[in-house]
Amino acid sequence: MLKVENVHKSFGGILALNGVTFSVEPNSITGLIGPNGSGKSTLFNVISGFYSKDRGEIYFKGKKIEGIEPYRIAMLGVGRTFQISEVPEKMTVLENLLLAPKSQIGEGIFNVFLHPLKIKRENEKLLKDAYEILELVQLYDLRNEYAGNLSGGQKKLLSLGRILMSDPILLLLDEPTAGVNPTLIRDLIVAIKNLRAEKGQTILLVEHNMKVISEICDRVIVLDFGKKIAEGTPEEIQKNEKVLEAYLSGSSKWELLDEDSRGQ
Amino acid sequence: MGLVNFLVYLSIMMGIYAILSLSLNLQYGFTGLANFGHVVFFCLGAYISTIIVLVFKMPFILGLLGGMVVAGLFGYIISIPTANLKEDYWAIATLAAAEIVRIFFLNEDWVVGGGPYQGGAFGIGGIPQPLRSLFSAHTYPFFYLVIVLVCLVATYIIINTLTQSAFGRVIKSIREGDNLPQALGKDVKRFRMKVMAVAGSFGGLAGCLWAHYHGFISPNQFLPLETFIIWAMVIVGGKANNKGAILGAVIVMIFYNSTRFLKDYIPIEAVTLASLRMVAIGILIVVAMLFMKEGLIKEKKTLY
Amino acid sequence: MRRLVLSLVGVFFLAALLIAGMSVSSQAAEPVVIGSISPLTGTNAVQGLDMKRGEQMALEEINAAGGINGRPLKIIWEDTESSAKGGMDAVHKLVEINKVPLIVGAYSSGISLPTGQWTNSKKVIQIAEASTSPKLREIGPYFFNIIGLDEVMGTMLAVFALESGAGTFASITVNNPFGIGIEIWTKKTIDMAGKMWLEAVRYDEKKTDYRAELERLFAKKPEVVFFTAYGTESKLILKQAYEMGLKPSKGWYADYPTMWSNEVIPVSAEGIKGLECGATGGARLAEYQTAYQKRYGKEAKQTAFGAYAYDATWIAALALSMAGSTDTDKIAKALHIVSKIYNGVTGDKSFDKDGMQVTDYYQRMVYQGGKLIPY
Repeated sequence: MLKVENVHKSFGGILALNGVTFSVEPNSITGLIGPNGSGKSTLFNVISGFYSKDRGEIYFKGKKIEGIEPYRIAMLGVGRTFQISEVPEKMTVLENLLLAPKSQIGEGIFNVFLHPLKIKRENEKLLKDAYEILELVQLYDLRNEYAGNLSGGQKKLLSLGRILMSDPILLLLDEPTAGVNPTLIRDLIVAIKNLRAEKGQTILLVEHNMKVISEICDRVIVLDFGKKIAEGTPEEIQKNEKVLEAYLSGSSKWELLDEDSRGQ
Repeated sequence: MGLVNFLVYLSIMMGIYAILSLSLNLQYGFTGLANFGHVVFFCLGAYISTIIVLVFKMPFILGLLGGMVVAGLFGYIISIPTANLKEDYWAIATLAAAEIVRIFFLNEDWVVGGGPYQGGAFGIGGIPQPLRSLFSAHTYPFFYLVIVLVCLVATYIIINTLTQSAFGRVIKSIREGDNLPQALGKDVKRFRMKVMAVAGSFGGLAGCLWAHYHGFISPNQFLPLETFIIWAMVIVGGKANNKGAILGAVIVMIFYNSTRFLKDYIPIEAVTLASLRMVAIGILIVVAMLFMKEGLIKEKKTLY
Repeated sequence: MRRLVLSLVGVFFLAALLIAGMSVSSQAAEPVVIGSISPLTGTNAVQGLDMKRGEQMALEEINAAGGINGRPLKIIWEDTESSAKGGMDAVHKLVEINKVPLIVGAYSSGISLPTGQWTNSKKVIQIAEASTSPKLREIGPYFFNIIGLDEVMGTMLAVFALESGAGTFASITVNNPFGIGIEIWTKKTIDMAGKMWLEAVRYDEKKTDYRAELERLFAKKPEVVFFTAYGTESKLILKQAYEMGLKPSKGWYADYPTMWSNEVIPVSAEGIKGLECGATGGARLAEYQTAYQKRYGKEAKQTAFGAYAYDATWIAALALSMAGSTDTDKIAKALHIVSKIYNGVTGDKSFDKDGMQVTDYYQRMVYQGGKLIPY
C-alpha cells in the first residue's frame, strides 16, 4: 500500500529524516512512534506532499509519488490529519465535515447554477453521511457550533470525523487521541478498528498513547533522530532495548511507559 | 423634484459601489484575499466597455459583457503567478498590478483609437449612454437606476449562491490557511483563481456602469485610493456577509454625501467642514475596525 | 442588531430628506445663490484653498457693491476631494438640491470634464477656473473657462523660445493632460516655424529618480528644452540635471514657473526662463494682491489660481446682474457680453464662441539669484 524507501529530509543543517525505509500493508493499522523531534510529523508531511523530500522514494499503491502538490496526493486517496488541528474557526462543525468529500459537484462555479438538482441530491447524501459521522465522534450536538469554539480534544475529533468523511484509502492520523476524553478514546479505538473491517482502509498513525497503540496497531515503527530504529508488533517494541534507550535519553520515558499518567 | 433626482443619482452611485463592495467581499471576506488593487477591475471594466462601445460602435450590452469578461480574465491571469503568495505579498502584488493597468491606459492612448485629446492622460469623454435617445434628460437617470439595480440584484444572487454552495465552503476554508483544503484534495490555487475571475468580472461590471453613466473616464479616477473606499465599505458593513457589503456601500456613500449638507444649516467654514469630513470617514473606519470587528452585520452561520 | 442597522439607515435617509427639504424652503432670504467646486481636500488642496480665497474676496467685494441687482450673492462651496467622484457628488448636490444656476470651478481638467458634461446637460452654467485641457472646448454652450487653454500657453511659450534663435528643441513634460497639452502646442509651433523637434519626454509624477528621462531628453543635445513640472518633481529633475551636467545651450523654458520657484535648489534653476500666467503686470493685479494680503495676511502669489477664481466669480456676478434672472440661457448670453468689457486681475477675459479664453496674459520671467524676476 505505502512504501517509503530511504527518505531523507533536512532543514538547514538539521537532518530530520535520515534514510527512513518501511512499508505499510494494505488493510493494516500501523503505529508510528518515537520521542519528540524524532521526525514523525516530518515524515507525514513528506508523504502527504507538504514537504518535498531531499532523497529517497515513496510509493503509494505501487506508484511513485513525487514532486506533486499535496492536493493531488490527497486526490490519490491519501488523507491526513494534523498534529495541531487545522480547523477553520469560522465554519461550523457540520460545514467542516461537508467540506471534506473530494470533487463535489457543487465546487464548480458553473455547476452551482447549471445543475441545482444534482447538487441538491449531492447535499442530501453528504448531510446523511455527516450526521452518521457526527454521531460516531460524538459531536452531533455541537454540529452548528463554530469549530473555533471547540476544545482541543473536540477539534481532534472533528479532524478525525472530517478525514472519515473524505473517505481516503490510506489515513495518516497525527496524534488522533491527544487531548481526547479517555472514555471517548475507547470508542474511537472501536471506530477505527471498525473502519478497517468495514471499508478496508489502511491506517498509519502517530500516537504517544501506548494503550491505544497496543490495542489497535498490527505493527509499530519506531523513529529516533530521523532513523527507523525498530519495527515489530506492539509487544516486541515494548521490550526492545533500543527503543527504551531512545526514550530514556530523550527524557520522554513517561510517554512510553506510563500511559496512565497521560490523559484527560 | 431636485431632491428625487439627487436621491436617484445617489442610489445609482450606491448601486455601483455596492457591486464593487460585494466583489471585494467575495475576495477578502470569504476567501481571505486582501486585494489592495481591487480598483483594477473597476478600471478595466470601464475602459474595455468604453472601447467596445465608443471605438467599435458595438451595443452597450456587448460592452458590458466584454468589460466583465476582460476584467474576469485579468483576475484569473494575475492569480496564476501570485496565487501561492502569502497574504501581505499578495496585497502588494495586487496593488502593483492595478497600477500597471492604470499606467498602461495613461500612456497608451492608441487603445481608444486616437484623436486629439482623446485617451491617455486626457481621459475619454463623450461615452454614449445606453438607450439615451429614448428618454429625456430628466427621466434618463431613473432608467439607468433600473439598469444598475438589475445588475446589483444579479450580482447579489450569484455571489450569494456561490458563497452558500460547496464552492463557498472551500473558499471559506482557504480563508484560514491552505493546509487543510490541500489535505482534503482541494486545488487551492485554482479556487483562488476562480474567485478572482468571478470577483474581477463583477468589478468590471461596476466599472462599465460607472463609465456609461458619467460619460467620462480618465486614469486618475482609478488611483489606488479608490480601493480603500471600497475596503471601508466592506469593513463597515461586515465582512463575509453579502448583505453587509451592500449596507456598507450605502452607509459610506450616505456618509460622504450627507455631511456635505451640514454647512448649509450650521455656520461652519466650507474648508473646515471639508477637512472634518475626511477626518470623520477615517474615524468611521477606525471605529468600525476597533469596536465592530465584524462590521454592522456579522458573518452569518451556515446552517443546514 | 439587524433592526438597529435598518433603523440607522432609515434615520440617515430621513435626515437627508429633512435637510434637503429645508434647503428648498430656506430661499426666503432671497440671496442669489451660486455654487463653487474646488479641491478643498486631497492632492490639490493648496490650490483649492487659494481658489476659495479668491472667490471669497470677490464675493465680499460684490456684496459691498450692492450685490446682484440689490440681492446679496451667496456661494455654496463644495469639495471635489480632488477626485472625479467627489466632483460629481458636489455638482449633483449643487444643482439638484441647492438649485444653483451657475457653478464656478473645478480646478483640474479631469474633474471639470465630467462635471462640465453633466452640468451642461442640465443647462447649468459652469465656469472652470484652472483647467487647461483643450478638450474642454467641446463640452457645450453652458460651459465656460476663465483660464487660457494649453494651446494658448504652449504657443506663447514656443514663441518666447524661438526668439533665442535656437534651432533644435525638445520637451520634458508631466504625463497628464496639462503637460501633454504643452508638449503638443510647443511642438506644433516649432514645427510651423520650420525648426527641428528632437524629443518629447513625458514623465510620471511622484517618482524618486528621473535620470533615465533626462538622459533620453539630452541624448540629441537640444538647444532649448520646454519644461513643465509641479514643485516636488521640478526640484528633483533640475537637481539631477544639474548633477549630471546636462543643460540646454539656449536654456530651459518653463510654463507656470511659480509652481516650482519656491522649492528648487537655486543653483540648479539659474537662468530658466518661463511664462507666468495671470500676470498682467497691470494695476488691477497689484490691487488684488494688496487686498489679498490684507484679507488673509498671506502673499497672494501662493498660486496663480486664486486670481482666476476671483475673476470667475466677478464675471459670474456681472453676468447674473445683466441677465437679471436665473435663466441660464440668458446668463450664458450675458457672460459672452460682459466678458468683452470685463478687465480682470488676470487680464482681458473675453470668451470665444466655445466659452474659452481668446488669449491670456503671460509675463516673461527669468529665474535669477534664487528668485523669479520679470525678463
